Amino acid sequence: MFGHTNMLILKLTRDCNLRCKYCYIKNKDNFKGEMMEFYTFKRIIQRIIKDRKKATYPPKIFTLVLHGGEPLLAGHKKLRLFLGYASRKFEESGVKHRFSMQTNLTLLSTEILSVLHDYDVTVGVSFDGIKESNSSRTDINTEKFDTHFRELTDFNINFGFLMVVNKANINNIAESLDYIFKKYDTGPLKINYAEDVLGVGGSEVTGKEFFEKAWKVVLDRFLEKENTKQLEESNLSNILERYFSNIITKKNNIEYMRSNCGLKICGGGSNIIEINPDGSVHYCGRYSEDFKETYIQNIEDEEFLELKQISRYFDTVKVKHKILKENECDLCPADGICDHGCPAFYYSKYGKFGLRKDLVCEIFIPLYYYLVKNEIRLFNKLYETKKNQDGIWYLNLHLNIEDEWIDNITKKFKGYYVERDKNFKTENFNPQIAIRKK
Amino acid sequence: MKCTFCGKEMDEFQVGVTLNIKTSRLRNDDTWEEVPNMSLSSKEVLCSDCFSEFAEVLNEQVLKAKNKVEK
Ligand code: SF4
Ligand code: SF4
Ligand SMILES: [Zn+2]
Repeated sequence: MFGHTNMLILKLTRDCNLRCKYCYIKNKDNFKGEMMEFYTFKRIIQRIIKDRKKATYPPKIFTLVLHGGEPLLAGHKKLRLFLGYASRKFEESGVKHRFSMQTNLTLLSTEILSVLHDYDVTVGVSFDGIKESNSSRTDINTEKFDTHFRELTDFNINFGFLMVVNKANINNIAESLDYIFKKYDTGPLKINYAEDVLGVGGSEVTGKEFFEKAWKVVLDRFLEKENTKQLEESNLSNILERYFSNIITKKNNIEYMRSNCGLKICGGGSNIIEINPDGSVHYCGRYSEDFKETYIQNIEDEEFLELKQISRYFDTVKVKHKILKENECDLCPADGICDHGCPAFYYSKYGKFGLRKDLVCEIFIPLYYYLVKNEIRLFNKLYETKKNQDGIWYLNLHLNIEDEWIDNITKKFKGYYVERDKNFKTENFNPQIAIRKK
Repeated sequence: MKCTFCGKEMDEFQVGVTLNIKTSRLRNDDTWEEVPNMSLSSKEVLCSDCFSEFAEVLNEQVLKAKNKVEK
């Protein structure tokens, strides 16, 4: 199971201390007090180690995401017990790993901060923005957030922001970005669109609104602001990387790597899996409840050649393929950059697999045209923000470089010297192109 | 070295069995496109007993399945 899985979403509990409007987990009230047992946790860690030992190409780094509900409900003692065990076992068996956690931070304490610090846990925090942006959430305001962020900084804990765009924050994305980047020396944040999975209404914005008032705002800021250090949003960073890779190689590079979200046929069930507090294994943590259709097996179930998981994943591949064909995504101009929607959200909302064309296409088709119209400016800006001290931008295309691609870059983007990176290493399969300004 | 299936310490033989899967889908434009997350490799290292059993069972069961698919 873990022979080819690089990320585990481990739900310590499905209970949460908040009740945010756009949350996709169903029936949180049924999970009051639920918490994973140490025994189950140990069995999961042992399974990860065992499966990776016999794997042909285990992913280089294994990421364990402590998730929920709210994982901090576990309390500092249990978190230290779990992370201590995992960290010692992983070290002993040479499993290179990262710990991360998705939390609302409201239960942060000095003891918890010290656990996060000691085990190098990267914390993903939801930040919806300033002022009325937080009105979709309960018990959260900007002042409280500031206190928590300061505490994380004091304890030297890495953190990244996730902003879910919904009706409450759609109109002040720029102000919220200004606020974050003025205050914190942080990398790009992630801006996702909310989907009204539970059908309660009131939270979801249209695809058109999302593109125009969120992602386009980020792109405009990137192009127009003087001395920008970075593109402020990470989905767009990946999309830009893919866009330029596609035009340079003149092929649709969705094929180049295994990944989780954002791929035409996402990795839920293969590259990424989710485990519930009772040890049941599912496709992905984004499903609103335990569906029979998304169940893979239990952590204690035996498996030969990982065939149980592979065949369950293949079931989704077949369904997703049919949906892509029906919607003619293969013939869409935005195909090479589109995320093709989250199957978990769709399934949770409609009880079957499908594609929210109203939402997804309204975001990605205009985005595609925006990229085409601005590709030269974007390329120049990427060079400015990505070049190192020697003025070189190393562009990684994740493929073995062909000479023709170098020509494609020089023809399209004037004023650059382009060559293969001399430190090119096949061993790591990390082929890069070095770009300099003339 | 222990057999990855039965867990017994291996002597005399260890047989590595690797399954390489490469999956592509047929696009709307009639060309093939790889499905990266469905292109993978898995492995077991078996003791001689487990391998013999595996070879026999696989052969039998696969033929059975073939009949089922053909019908
Ligand atoms: S189901 Fe959704 S969240 Fe999970 S990997 Fe797929 S796209 Fe990502
Ligand atoms: S924009 Fe719509 S039609 Fe185009 S690839 Fe994405 S989901 Fe498919
Ligand atoms: Zn055996």
